[in-house]
Amino acid sequence: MNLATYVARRLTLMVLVVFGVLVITFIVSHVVPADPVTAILGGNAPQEKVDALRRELGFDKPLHLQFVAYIWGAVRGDLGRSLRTGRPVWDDIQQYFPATVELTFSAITLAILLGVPMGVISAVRRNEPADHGARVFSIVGVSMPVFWTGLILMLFLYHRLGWLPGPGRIDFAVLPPPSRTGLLLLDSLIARNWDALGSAVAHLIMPAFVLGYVATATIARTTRSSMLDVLGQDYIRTARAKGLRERLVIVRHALRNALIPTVTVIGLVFGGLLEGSVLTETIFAWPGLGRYITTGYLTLDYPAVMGGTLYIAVVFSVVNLIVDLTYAVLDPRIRL
Amino acid sequence: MRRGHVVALPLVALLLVTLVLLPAPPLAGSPQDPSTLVVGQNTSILITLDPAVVFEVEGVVIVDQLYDKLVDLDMVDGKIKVVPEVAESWTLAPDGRTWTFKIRRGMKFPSGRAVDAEAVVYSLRRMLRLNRPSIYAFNELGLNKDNAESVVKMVDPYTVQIVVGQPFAPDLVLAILSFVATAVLDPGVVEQHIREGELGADWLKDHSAGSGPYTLIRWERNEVVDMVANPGYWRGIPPVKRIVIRDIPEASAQRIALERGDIDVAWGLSPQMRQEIRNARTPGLAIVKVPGHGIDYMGMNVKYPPLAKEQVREAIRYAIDYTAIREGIMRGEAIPLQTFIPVGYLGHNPVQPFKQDLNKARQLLSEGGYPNGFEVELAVTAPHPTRVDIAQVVQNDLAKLGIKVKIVGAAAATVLQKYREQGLQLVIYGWGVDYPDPDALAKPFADGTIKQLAYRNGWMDPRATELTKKAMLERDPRQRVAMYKELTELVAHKGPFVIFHQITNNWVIRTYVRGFEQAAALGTFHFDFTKISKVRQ
Repeated sequence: MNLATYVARRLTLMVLVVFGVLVITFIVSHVVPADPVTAILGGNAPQEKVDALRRELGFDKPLHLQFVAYIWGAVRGDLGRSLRTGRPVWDDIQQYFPATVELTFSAITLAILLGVPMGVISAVRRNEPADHGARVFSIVGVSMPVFWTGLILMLFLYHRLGWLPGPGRIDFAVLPPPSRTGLLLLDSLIARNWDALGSAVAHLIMPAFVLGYVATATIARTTRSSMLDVLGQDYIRTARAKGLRERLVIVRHALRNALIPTVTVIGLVFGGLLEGSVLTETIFAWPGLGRYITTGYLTLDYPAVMGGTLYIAVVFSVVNLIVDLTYAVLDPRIRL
Repeated sequence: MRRGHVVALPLVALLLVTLVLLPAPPLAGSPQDPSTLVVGQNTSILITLDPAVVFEVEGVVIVDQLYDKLVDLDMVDGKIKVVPEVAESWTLAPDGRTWTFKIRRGMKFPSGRAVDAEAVVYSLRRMLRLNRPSIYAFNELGLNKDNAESVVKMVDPYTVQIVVGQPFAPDLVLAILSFVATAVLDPGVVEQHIREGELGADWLKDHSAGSGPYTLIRWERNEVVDMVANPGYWRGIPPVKRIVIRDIPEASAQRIALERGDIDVAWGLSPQMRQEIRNARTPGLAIVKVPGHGIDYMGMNVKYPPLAKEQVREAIRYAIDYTAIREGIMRGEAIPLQTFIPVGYLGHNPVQPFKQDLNKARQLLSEGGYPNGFEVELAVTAPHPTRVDIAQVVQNDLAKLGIKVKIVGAAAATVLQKYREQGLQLVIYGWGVDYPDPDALAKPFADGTIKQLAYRNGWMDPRATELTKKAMLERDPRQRVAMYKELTELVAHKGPFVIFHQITNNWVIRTYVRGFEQAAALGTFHFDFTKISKVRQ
């Protein structure tokens, strides 16, 4: 199969997956025995106002008609308006998604930079103190709730030591750069606004670490076990036997082959980070899509929930497609 | 050792990046700046800052800083009073319906345009035409989108006339007019931003066009609301020149930022955190508590046979340990209240007939025909910082009478929907007052013909309905107070409610913030940031 056919097939599958996501989110949000109109207007609003708004929003129509209307809108790129704020959901996504992207990419980068070397060291120095240390770090990472890690780090690094800034994406006293991409780091670079860049990077460290911690642990563990597996292979013994430097054996021969499962895990973990950013975004007051969707859930703002989820599903699928394509680069034996 | 480089390099790089960035230099406009007040708050609740649309408490507080309203509120000797703002005086014609407001001269919008009758009429008609749910009380005064042109009129450049539908109690009309929906907008500015008949509501979501003490510079959603003092404000420039509301949704993070001095005010700490701060006497922090505009209560649906008996409902009222709830769960922050008009309101009835008396409760239960109790479901919104715990106290107290309470927790919207349909047996809920007049409580709590709280509990009492309607139209305040006395007592004993307490509004502030208590005296009905100053050394 050539690359074009492969990508086309994957894209078709992606459309199906996204449609599935749409159907499930629609059903889940609409079978909840709660009325969004009641949620919007609260307990005080008179019944007439409730009924009027229900008609205005089309909730008096049968469910299948509402679904068809939603799909028809989504196909044309119209994700509807948020019930709560009245703003187009697409505008909201454009506003909140860049913050999530910045956070998630920093987290995954940090996780790869820390996790892969940690896994390699663990495998190479199996059962030595470095391995034990890395394993403790991993177990803590996988088992500690993000909420707890976030608050503890904030308590020490921000409250006690004052090394890192507190919640938020940038110091409010710093003039932010004009928004071009919505990515604060990039916008600051474009505008050569170094104050903003410094503040944004400083604000990013803690949440990125907290969000990336679980991913670091997962990546380290996967790398470790696949490295151990590879290091036991005959060709490694051969490489060593022919007198190659140990570093070359590890990096060029072992790591490259051991990375394939790691790449798979990175792809999956990335999706988890996109979804799992909610708690980190809440603790660190990060104005991202995770919080937007959660607020949507809590206020029964269906269009916001469905639009946000749909968007994340698409991004997740694309990222996984990219991950699958990297296999071929890592291992030419893998035919797409 | 070389292999160690693989792991060491990124770590060293990370450390270097961290060190280079530290320590962050203090910046102008930071919390250290005494002219800037920094508030930590969960701002995700904010929907719009358009005065004609806004309904969320936090949004109303912000809008109140950006605009001047037709009339304002003040706390005089612990009582809520309507006071002049854009209107410096008013008269009511003998027909009881025609109100004439004299507009204060010399007020200006930042654009230089005068705040005059034209601007007032423009703003009021715009509000009525938009007809959002937030203005339902104006509709009840007989002011609506269809009659906006005829009921709000300019008499001369500094006189406005408003004709309400009935000769309502004057205090009631003024109380409704004190809501931010009567904020006066600069028509010239609004007109520039109108698109397709939405009357500028899109633009006004995150811009301001008022003459209030502050002007909105920016609202970055889920990040920050930034306001600066209006140099042309008619009462003079306030001591705090900039108000920054930082979005910090998580209460623990708010507390950390407050203790560190990065914010001056924490808007949303939990009762438990406030108690910890109170007990620990954390240096540099102070707690401000003012009476809130809300009541926590339990509804008892009389459509459920055991609760249809007046004696059973009264027995339940005598079974509950109110002190345990106030001290243990509300952590001493709630105000004792057993009648439906809160402290500070006209007609507040201070009687507290109920305290836990199990013998009396048992006797009443027998008289009601249920000497061995019965089974009942208690709905409660969950998660909630206090109501679930209150439900457990109720469950425990009623068990002593043999009443088996099954607590059913659900999301607020789910509970509310069933409640609206009279579909609950017992429910613990709260009522937030919409305008500072007893009518705003009498209607929901006493008049079963309106689809509100009494109705949701299936309760209808002709005398209570009659009194509610009469008091709404009574022009003599003393007569009105007498009517509300009778009404509150009738509902306290015969009605379908257990009133637990009146809520309070609480903030934790840095001690160098002065005047906060005065600023917050009216709770969230009228929050006056101009009374705040910072005296940081």
